Amino acid sequence: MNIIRRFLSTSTENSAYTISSRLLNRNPRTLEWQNLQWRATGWPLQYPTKDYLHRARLLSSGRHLIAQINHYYTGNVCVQVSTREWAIRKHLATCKDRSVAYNLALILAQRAEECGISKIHFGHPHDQRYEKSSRLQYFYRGLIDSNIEFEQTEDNQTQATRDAIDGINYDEHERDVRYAPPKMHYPPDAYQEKLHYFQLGLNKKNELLSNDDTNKERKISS
Amino acid sequence: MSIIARKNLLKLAWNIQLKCVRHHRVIPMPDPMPYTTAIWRKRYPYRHKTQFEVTHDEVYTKDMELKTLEERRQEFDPQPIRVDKVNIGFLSPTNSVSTSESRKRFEHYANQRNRADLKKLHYDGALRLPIDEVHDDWLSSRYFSENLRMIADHYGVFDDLFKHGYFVPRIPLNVNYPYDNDQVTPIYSGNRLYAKDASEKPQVKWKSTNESNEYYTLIFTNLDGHLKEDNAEVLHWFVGNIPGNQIDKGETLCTYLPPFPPNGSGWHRCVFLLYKHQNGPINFSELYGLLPENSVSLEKRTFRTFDFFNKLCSHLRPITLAFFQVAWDTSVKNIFHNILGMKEPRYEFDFEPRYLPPQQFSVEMAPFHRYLEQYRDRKDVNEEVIKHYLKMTCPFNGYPNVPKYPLAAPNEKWVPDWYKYELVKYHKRQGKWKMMPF
Repeated sequence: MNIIRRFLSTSTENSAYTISSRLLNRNPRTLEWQNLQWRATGWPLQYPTKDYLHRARLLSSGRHLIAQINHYYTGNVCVQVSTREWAIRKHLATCKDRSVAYNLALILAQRAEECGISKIHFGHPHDQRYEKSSRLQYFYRGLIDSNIEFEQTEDNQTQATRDAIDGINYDEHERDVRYAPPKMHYPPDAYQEKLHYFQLGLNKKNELLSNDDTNKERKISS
Repeated sequence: MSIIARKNLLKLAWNIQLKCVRHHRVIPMPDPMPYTTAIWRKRYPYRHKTQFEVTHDEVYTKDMELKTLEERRQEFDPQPIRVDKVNIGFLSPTNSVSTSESRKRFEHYANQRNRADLKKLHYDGALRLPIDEVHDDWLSSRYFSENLRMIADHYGVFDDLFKHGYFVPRIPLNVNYPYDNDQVTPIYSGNRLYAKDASEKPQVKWKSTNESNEYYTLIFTNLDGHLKEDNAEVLHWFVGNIPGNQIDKGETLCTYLPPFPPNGSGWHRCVFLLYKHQNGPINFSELYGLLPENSVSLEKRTFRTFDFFNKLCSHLRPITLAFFQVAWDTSVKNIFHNILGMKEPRYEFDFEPRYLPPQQFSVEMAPFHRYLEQYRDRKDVNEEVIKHYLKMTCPFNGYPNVPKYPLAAPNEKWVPDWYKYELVKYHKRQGKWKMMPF
């Protein structure tokens, strides 16, 4: 008869140890990593959105730039990088430049990974504030280049067109962060066409001004 | 014929008429919904509207008199208990910047500002800082200490270790778990690892000054993994009276036990705490009590840092910490069976129960299939979904033929309406079918 030994361990110290049926995990962040934490999804018209766990932010004080990662529920600052640090500032000429913002993003992402934060939300990739400030654009570029993941909402994401960003910022009443259309120097249909060709890298020739003979008859007749 | 004689008959008649007619004068009403924020303009132009629309203003101007949240909290609990946190570590940083050094730094900044080549790099967006050098310099700065304290606070480490105490970690602690050949898994502050990576003893290093009477104590505990009690930690490794930097020469009062987060219990925080001795080596058995030397019994390994520090606070002071998070892995099974000698437990997340009124035998005005499904065990419902999915993806049946527009195809057989709606839910992957992977 083969008696198969159940456990290989020879210690019998834990044979009388009865575990309780419930285990309390006191880690306040465990629910977030397990995707079981309630998210603030009830603010679809709020822009910038509140539906994030960790948000990357770029602040500027009088002479320095500060890159932070905030946590939504507690409001804690989890990770902070600023140009005040000697380690960073000794390599810089100016502290509030856009390339500084790029490097701060890379360092911020590295420190966030060390702290266990693998997913980040960046507040406003396509609004007026972002388009005006190349510093923010470089910061976003730095976050992308650092290969850190971005948070995604669970439900089906429709393509975020500019017109869809319509919400009201309930948090900051003074500043209007809504998307404002760019200044148009041409009538709308001509502008769209021109923009299209510009993005393709081509110069669209104006039909009426070209020197082709093919169009002359049309021009004369009309 | 009798004449109804009454004083002020005319006035009475007039009042009756008034009550019957709609009038737009303001009528004081009790405050039906005190916490609304609708405010109408006082001079409402439409006089033909009914009284309720005009007196809307009168009702809702009481918004401005509402109490703030703080005042209501004050009423509810006039004297809340306030606990001020106590700094139990070293108050001054070990390597503060001297004035001469800071003067040199400012000169350096002034020089940098005049460098045209560096400014060109800035402008072109081609500036790239050497990240490794920045990391090394940062480790010895006060910003590192502050950041580590912030993140430890964020993870609630100080709350669970020392209830109302905290400390600012003054030196960086390098902990590296051996991985494969020469590779190494580093531990910073809140790293996420699987249990397999932490199964062997790590190499712990820190910078120590070369004094003779310098002793340290290293304690490694799991804050969340105690299987019996809620407020206790599990002691995994205890090395006391370490002279200087060399752990090998310290007394191992508790041999290394790898962390064993059971399945389904989430991410456990495991903390390396380094204490610095005030005066020389300490006799732990005298001051604290017995520590498990080689024993694997979980009862003996129950540990409370708060009690430990209370007893030894005049001899020890925490100087630094490093922590990581562990989750379950198949290697935990081996730890339970081979090292601890017990069965491996398995946990599930305890969701908040949904409120359901007690089930009645017959219910009117409710679709019977939905009503009954509410009272079924959630596990049975999920079992059905899983069985269906397995049937669909059975390898002997070939690739599942999922039509592109299932709702567009009409049903061949007649099917009752309620079943039709259930099928619609299935095709749309709503309700219990939401968990289907495709």
